[in-house]
Amino acid sequence: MAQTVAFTLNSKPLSTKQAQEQRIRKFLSNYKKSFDITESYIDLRSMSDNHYLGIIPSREIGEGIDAILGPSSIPRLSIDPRSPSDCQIDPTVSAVSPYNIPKFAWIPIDLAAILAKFQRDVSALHIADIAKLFKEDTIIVPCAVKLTLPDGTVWFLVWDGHHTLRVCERKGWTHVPMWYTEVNITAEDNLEESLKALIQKAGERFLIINGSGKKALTQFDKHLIRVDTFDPTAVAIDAILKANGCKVKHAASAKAPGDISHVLNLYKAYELVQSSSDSKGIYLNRALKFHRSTWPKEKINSVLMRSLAMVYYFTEEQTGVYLPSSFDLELGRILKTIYGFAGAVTGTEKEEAGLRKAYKDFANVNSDIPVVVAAGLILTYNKHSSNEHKLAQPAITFPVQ
Amino acid sequence: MSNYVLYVKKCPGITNPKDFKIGIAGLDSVRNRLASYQNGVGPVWQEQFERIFLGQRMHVKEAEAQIKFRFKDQIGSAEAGFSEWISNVQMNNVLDVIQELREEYFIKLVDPPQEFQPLTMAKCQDLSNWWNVQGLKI
Repeated sequence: MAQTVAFTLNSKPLSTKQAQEQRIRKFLSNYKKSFDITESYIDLRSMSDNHYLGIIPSREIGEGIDAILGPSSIPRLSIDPRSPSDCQIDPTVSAVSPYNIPKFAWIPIDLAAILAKFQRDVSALHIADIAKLFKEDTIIVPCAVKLTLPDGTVWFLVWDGHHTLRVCERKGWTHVPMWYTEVNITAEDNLEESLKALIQKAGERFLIINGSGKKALTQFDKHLIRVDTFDPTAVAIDAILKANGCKVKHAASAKAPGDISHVLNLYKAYELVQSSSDSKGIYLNRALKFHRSTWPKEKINSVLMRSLAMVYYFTEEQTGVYLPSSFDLELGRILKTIYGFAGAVTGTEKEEAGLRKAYKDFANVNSDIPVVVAAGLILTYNKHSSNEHKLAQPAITFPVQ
Repeated sequence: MSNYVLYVKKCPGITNPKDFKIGIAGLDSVRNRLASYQNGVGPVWQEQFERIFLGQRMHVKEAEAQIKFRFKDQIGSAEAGFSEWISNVQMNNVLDVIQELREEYFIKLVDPPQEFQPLTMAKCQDLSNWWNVQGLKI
């Protein structure tokens, strides 16, 4: 009998990954304007373009999270945390457990206390810093355990928001808002054992809230929020980016022409001040313009961008000349001929190539990469150009291609 | 600087294919890569890379990343074994993008002589010899 060929791709169950992709596709099909949705992030700013006034109902974000993680084992809206009967959702938690759903109250400030075993040291400098930023209408509510001792003494033992509490105190407040759970230690309880259990639980929460449970704010997040809240520097940088067809993106999704992901380098390039005009942003704008006109189809190599800004800056500082556009054309041609695409000029941390490799081969050490690349750009230009333009002295010297 | 191969392959035995896999391998391990694929299809078909391009690792890796980005909507799944398969395209579509990468992204890729297209295991040593003799270490 002759052999036959049968396609088998769809004859077996989907893998976990494929099932996730199917859920995400289905979720995204609800939206006219697509947006990034990955395990690391959902691009909420782009998602909000689908909504009137940019307001995204929380439910929809929850659906996106379900698409990524799979549906929760607990049906949505099946638990009312305010209901005593619904609170015991975890069968391992005893009905008499002191750890229950938090309550909210404005407590007299002098009822607050610290059990140092589950707190970090208090920093006066940090209090001074956050006091400057403090606004009473956007206060973050501290968290505490309300401890009632056998003699009736009550303490709210703060396990999160201690510095906020201190600021409230220095603002003269009599009361502070507090989320708290209750622990009552009665005369029949072993005081030492009960306190130990309390400390263990509160310490766990403290470490989670301030450590692994806290998603650090990235430079990317900070920049976008600063732009949206009209921070002058961020707005100026954003305007320069837009003028050059550039957009700040997450590192994982920065792939399109003009995308840039390394926000710190943007700010560093922006901060270079042109002495003659006492202005910032001149060299950032120039470097982005160079990058976009030399490699119009590439994402922005932020190290190269920052290093270029340094070349313009140091040259003007040392020679008094703001390099003309003919310099850009010549340097662009040289770099494309020798290295090719922008990434190959600098190499990367993982992929040593270009100027990074040239310096490492020569000096056998790593150094401040933007300084190395800026020097390398000057050396490369001096080696291959018509020398029509006099550049700054390179900060370091090494052989270049 | 390591030398790499960017390859484009189809499912063996398929005529008029519309699914292509792009991938990369070190020049010195490209034969092993073909051998792995050959093992999967058994003795009925011969595995081969329909088209190959050579270059430095950084350029070849960038080319692969750019191709995957350009065809991201035609890559059906990120699951292992699927994430490099571009579907519903013609070979020319892929080759056009590669050409664009060379001309407009300035990614440096080298065409080997026609005799190495497609590349089979039997030709791998000759390919390596050719590359070394030509001194095309760009």
